[in-house]
Amino acid sequence: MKISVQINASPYQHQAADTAWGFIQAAIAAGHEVYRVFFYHDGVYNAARDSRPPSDERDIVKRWSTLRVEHNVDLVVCVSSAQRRGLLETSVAKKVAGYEHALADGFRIAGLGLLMEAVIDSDRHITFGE
Amino acid sequence: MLFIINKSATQSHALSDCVKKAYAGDVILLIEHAVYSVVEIKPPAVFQALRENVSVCALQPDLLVRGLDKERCYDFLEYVDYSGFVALVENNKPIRSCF
Repeated sequence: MKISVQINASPYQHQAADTAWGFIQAAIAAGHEVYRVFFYHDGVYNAARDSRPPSDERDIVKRWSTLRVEHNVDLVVCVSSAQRRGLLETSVAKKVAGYEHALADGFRIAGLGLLMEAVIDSDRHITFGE
Repeated sequence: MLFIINKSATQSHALSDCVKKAYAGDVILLIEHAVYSVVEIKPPAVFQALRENVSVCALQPDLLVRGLDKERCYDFLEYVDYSGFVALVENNKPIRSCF
């Protein structure tokens, strides 16, 4: 079964990222395909490259990047939500803020079209967060 | 239909709304803070309107991390782990997260 996930809440403040993670791990273990994770609203903070949690804590951002590498899950960050929160993609970041890239490895930035595509193309779509 | 609720009945009306909207064959899954709503009180407040053959499940890892054991919970409650959560998603369509 093809499953897509939407996360609307920031990591460390809300449990959504952890619940989604537990769900995704179980879904993959059961043989399902996790097609896309779409990060929306405050959920875009899950992609913050400069996140540096203490070394004895789980690293939520890094965990998502690993998911991309190990299971080829498409990690998509909503462009409008990200720009509102100062998480700028390469072309914009260089031009207006003078830095390279705000998103961690494995994430890409896109519009709501990819959320719609995920809903349409997946057998199930589940939202976590607010 | 699978309703997924993540807030307790005192945080949000989502649970009471879903209880009223769920019909036979539907499943209500309580995750995160919503699991606080399964501690038994009399009368059963939010679950009074629960129709027959509507299942109410709680995500057991979320009960455990909040120190809630089964003896304090309603008898009608069913428990799932993350693989059970996946099975609910597999067996129910549509899925509606209510906040």
